[in-house]
Amino acid sequence: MKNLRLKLARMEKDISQTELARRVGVTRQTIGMVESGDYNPTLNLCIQICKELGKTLNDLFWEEDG
Amino acid sequence: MKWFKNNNLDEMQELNLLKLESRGFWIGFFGLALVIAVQTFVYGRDVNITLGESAVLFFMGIYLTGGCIRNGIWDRHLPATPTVNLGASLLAALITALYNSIYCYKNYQNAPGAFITFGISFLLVSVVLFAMLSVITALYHKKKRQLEEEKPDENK
Repeated sequence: MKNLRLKLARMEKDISQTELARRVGVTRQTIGMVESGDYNPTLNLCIQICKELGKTLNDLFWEEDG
Repeated sequence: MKWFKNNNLDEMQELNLLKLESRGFWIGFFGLALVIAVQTFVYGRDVNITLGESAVLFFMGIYLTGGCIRNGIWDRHLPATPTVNLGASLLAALITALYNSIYCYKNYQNAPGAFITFGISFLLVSVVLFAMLSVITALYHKKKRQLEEEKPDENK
């Protein structure tokens, strides 16, 4: 399932995938796959992404019911 | 493989199984290389006898290399540089040349011949392998650039 909240949060901060990838220490491909829902990141990576985007785990990674 | 709908493993078990499968691959890979060496040197078998094992080893290598390049992966620790490629080529050439010269000496008991075999093998393998690694490195860099390139609609 696509992670649109992550994508929106990144765009709010005006950060490219490449820049976010650089800040959290992964490749752009990984960020792209997290956003497209093709890769489930580890908890550590989720936390790193949340810190960079100033969001909580709930904001970006909690699955909504329905 | 998605042939089965159900999965009996939880995510941690799945990761453990992937690690086991990965180690199994390497046991098989080096096991085949060892079997070829033992059959050749200890049992004096002709190269034709080990063609099957060599073919499997070859295809395992092709699969792993191709898969890694497709995914923009080179190596966990070594960078994809000409220096590293040269070092790897020379090391592989040394091992191959030793293998060939020992095989030659065992069959013909001719030391100068074995020495020449070593020299020619070393030179040929190092040149060919370095050329191949250079081509593969170029493909890797190209694929990595493609994968790292941000598509225009990813910022919309």
